Amino acid sequence: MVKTPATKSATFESAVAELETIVQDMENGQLPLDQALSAYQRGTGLLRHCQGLLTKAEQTIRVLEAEAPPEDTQP
Amino acid sequence: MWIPVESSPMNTPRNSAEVKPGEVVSVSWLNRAARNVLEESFPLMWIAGEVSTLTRAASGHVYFTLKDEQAQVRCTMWRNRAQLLPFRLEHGMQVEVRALVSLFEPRGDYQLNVEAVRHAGVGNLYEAFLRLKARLEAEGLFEPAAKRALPRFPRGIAVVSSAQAAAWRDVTAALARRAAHVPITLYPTPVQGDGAPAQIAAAIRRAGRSAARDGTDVLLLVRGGGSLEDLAAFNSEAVARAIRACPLPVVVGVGHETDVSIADFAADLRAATPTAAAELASAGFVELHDKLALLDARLTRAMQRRVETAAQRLDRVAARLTHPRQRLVQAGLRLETLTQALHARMARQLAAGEARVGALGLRLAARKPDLAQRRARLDALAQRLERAGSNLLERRRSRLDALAQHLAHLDPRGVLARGYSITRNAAGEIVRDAGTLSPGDGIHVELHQGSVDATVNPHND
Repeated sequence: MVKTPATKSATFESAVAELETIVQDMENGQLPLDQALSAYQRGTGLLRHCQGLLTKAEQTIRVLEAEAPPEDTQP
Repeated sequence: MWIPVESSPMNTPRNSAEVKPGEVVSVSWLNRAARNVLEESFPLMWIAGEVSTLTRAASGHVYFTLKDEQAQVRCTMWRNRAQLLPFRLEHGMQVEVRALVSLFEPRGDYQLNVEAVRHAGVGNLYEAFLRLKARLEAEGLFEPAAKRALPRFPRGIAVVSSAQAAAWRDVTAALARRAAHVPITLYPTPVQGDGAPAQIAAAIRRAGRSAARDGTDVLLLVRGGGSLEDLAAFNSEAVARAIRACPLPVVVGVGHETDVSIADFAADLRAATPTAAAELASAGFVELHDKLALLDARLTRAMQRRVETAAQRLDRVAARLTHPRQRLVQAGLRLETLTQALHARMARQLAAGEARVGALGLRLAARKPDLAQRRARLDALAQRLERAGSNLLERRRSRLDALAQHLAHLDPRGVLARGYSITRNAAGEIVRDAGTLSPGDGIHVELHQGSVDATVNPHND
């Protein structure tokens, strides 16, 4: 019954923006109960997604040396 | 060479102007006077030259010779000044000294008392810096309107720095603390030395070109602190132009708080240190942490409220939904109540009626006429009426008796007894004329004793 959103690829901006909209809608109290329930599930999903991204502790660090003779001649 | 001079009794003049022609002065007097002249004639000024024959005394004072191709001068730097030197003076170094021209009286040597030393060309460097800054500013390279905002939530952070620099370690440490999920890409480059400006600019261009491929959306250009010369690369036009041409917004973090470099002016955002640069780039995530916690709480609260509201509504509706039997019970109760009310009202009205009747009775009794007197009078009248009636009856009865005797004499049956009869026709009418009868008519003849019926016979006359 809850749509499986593209949470994996959702950017922080869109995820947080959607989460804010959901919370506001729910706070208005106008949603029918079943819609409120699915909105709540969607909201907690987004929340977990965002929090998961933030706490994923493995930082990737790459060092990109310049390729052989640099062709950075023009400014 | 050196000839000791006896102290002279003619050591009186205070300065050269006081010396009279032909007057003899001592060497001490001359040297002191010469020193005064030198110190008063030259202001504190900068003198450029090469350092040679440098000695550091145990006392901490530093002695050296400053020379150029044609000349040289002895220099003394007192310990309290030498301590403040930001670098170590070496033989052969090209420097500029800020010094007071003086004379060492015991030896008669003219010398410089050095207060400060800087690398040669630094003055030019600073002027060049100001000129470059003015030129680029006029060109609009530092225009505040052109500054780009950092992404609130960078997906990848490009760093241009030296892999060996403390600045790079500071950046990775800060990002590990605040945004560990964001990938970092280092575009290494030397940050000082002759080729540094071009190499830094090239690294910035490289980072900009491959931003899409490397998934970066903000660039940190960082370097630890150093002297003005150390930071020369960050004051170059090439770096400034590379920053403005970079497709990514650039944060410059050079650990050099007193002066601001050209790169700082050109940057989209200036940070005081490399760590600060990393913190600025990751600020959104720190805010996001708090915001998510808040949204979490709001979401839960909203859901709770929604459920509570629904539950309350349900309760209210349930309260209104009653079983028919209960309705009957309620109706019965109501009926009983009404009945009681009705009875109560009736009883009240009855009581009121009785009271009213009672009151009327009292009023009526108060107005009851005197019947006894009237009855007595009525009785008297009744007796008189009765008496009068019976007298009248008596007289009439006696008169009636007389009349009855008289009437008995007139009775037809007395006549019949004397032999007369009465003839009646069929209609019962008394026949007084024979002519009214025809033969065959039936007649009834009444006698004193009984009667006979007869028929009229024809009569020839």
